[in-house]
Amino acid sequence: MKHYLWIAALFGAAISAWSQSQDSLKNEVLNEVVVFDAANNPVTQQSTVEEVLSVYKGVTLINRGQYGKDLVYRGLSADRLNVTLDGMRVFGACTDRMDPITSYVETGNLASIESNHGGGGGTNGINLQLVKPKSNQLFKARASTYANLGVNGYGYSLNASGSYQNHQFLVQFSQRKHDNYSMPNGEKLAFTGYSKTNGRLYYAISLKDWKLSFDGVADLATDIGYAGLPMDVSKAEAAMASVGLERSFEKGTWLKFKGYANSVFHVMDDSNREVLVHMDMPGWSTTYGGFVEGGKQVNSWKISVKAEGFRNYRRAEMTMYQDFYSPMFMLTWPDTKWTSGVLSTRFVRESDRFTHSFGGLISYQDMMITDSFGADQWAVFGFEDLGRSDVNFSGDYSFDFYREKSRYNFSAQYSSRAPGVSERYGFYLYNANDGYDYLGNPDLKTESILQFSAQHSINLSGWSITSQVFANLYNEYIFGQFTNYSGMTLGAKGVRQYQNIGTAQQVGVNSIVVK
Amino acid sequence: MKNSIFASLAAGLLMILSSCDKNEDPIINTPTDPLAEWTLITTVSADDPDYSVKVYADGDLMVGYNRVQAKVYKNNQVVNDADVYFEPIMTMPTMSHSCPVEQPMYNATTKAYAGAITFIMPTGAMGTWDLEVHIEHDTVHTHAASEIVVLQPVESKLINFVDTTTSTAYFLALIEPSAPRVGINDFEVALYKRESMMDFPAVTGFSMAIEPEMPTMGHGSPNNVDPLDMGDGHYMGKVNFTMTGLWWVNIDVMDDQSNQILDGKYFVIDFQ
Repeated sequence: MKHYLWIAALFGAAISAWSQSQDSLKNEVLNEVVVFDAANNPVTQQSTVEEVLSVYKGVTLINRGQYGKDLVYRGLSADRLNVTLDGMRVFGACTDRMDPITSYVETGNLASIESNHGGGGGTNGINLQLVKPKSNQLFKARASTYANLGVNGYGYSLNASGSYQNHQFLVQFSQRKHDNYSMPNGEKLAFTGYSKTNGRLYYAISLKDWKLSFDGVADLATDIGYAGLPMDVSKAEAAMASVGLERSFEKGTWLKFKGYANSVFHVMDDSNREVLVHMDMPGWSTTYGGFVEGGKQVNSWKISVKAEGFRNYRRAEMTMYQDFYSPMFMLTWPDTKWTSGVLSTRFVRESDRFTHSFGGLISYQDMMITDSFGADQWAVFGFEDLGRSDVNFSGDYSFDFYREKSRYNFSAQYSSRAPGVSERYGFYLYNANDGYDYLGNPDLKTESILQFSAQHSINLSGWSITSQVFANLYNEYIFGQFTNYSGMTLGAKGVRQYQNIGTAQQVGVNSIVVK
Repeated sequence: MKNSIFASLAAGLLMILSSCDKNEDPIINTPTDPLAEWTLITTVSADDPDYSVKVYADGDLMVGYNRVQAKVYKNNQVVNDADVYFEPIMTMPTMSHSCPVEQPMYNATTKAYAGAITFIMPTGAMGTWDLEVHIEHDTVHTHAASEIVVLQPVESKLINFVDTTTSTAYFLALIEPSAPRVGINDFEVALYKRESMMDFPAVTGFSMAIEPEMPTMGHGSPNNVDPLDMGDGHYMGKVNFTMTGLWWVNIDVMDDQSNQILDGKYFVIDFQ
């Protein structure tokens, strides 16, 4: 059986109005890092994190509403895309991916975005670097605000950061309050508002060559309307904390330890809607992990090694209330315990003319259902052996060369990934895009992907133009196949179940212009 | 100093990653009386004053299938070698009738005679139920009779129907799932027919098909197993529930000639 999947229309173009220093542009061209410096850029304050990310090449957004837009990076999304915050794994608690982890940070938290090669669960990833005060930075405080009449929204943010002797600190607090949209006829469009509060505390102390840092982010969003969906999100909250220890040695040698914990809680409900059957859909996701990472310059090569471990607990419920009879309850994500260990290494050689980069990764992961209710649900579908361990590999090579104002990049990557929680254990997860309920498949095998990309970037009098062609060739591609099962969600067209369907191809072109 | 920071960080990481699972051994209580969980329906002396009977059921007596056990005493000693049979009688103003009965066998664990009675109507203005327990022990033939109360459950566990071709009245009683839950449930029914007002034999050799449905949501569940004839009127299969709440288990019955004699009826199962 051979399936073809062509997504050829991935063409994204965005012109951004804010200025970037020549420095940051150069940085982007060299290292695939986009520096936002959003904290110091009032224009970006009212943009959401996803909107800011969308100027990153290859990033497109799936909109479900005004909030929590889902990232697609080079055609990859959901379980195929790892998004990390300063290397910390955070997994959303919404089965319908209405809370990508970017929705739990604020634009002002963000320093830069960089692409990762390989990853534990997914084959590709992007890492969001949070803003940190520099040592020897003078005290700096900023208050900014915006009001947007079109969306009846306003927001403000307060930032303070600085250093004193060997201490560095940063405090950020921001709030947004968006009421329902006003339509041209003056009426409000229901279910288009939200409010969000975000706070961050960072403290670091330098002791000789060592730097010990503590970082905490708390985010709470409430009453998020989704005009296009039959339900809203009453609450989305996250708390994340990490402890880091870094040491820089002389000349290109460094060592970093990090331990972190985060917890996400997300509730979908339809208590403000007139529906036949009211429902609540809370979800929980808690992750603990840590990594050790070190790098060294050996001749002209930069070599880095990283060992990482994390454990994620997930659970999501659906309760539907009916008159006279018992509430209908099921676990849309049974209690899942997912443990992963990742070992990776990277070799980079840079010169004025070219950059070589290659790396390898091996990951182990174990996923299991820890409650009998979830196991009983799956027994209905004939699955008894629900736990599974996988070992995955990835390897990549990337070559850049520079000529006048152009940069060319060619890259190839092979990687395999184990199925994610929804793909393995998701229970009747409704997909509003295609109208089907999706069932997981505990027997799924790992999916592998061979990726090729070619890219050309050019700087012309302050404009940066990047064009990219990529091809993703999948083996054992995980895809929702039609089944004869009857849909669970009212109005669902049917049920699709994830299966390994053999090979699939995805080809994309994207282009981005930044001034 | 540095080493101790490393050690504590590493220990912290290890603790986080190896955080223990909450697996507590359940404490198993062995009840001293195997009938302790059962409901005592009646205690009655037999016509022969040496004998008395305690009747237990797996709950209040309800219209539908009831597991019933009778403990027989002779001079307050438990009797284990008698022949015991149940005869429920409904007395109505103009007539009386019985109902389907599985005659009891001695159960050494409970030290009682265990059988089943499928009541086909509740106690009410129409009439009242008496349970007669007949005892044959040594040379003694005696019986103990007691009025019992049969209730109508909120959701009926009995489907009455008539095969219009043969004018035969059938009684289809739901036995399992008695404690429905999400997942795979045993499904068991017993089928009887009325041969006379006092004779309700078990029906074997028929076939059945089931299809669960959530009427509120308009969906079913997959991989159910149609009930198969297990003898003595019992038919066993599997019914799957993918969530709690209200389910209808639609059931079709085909006679031994494959004529469909029941269609469009269902058992209502509501649980949380």
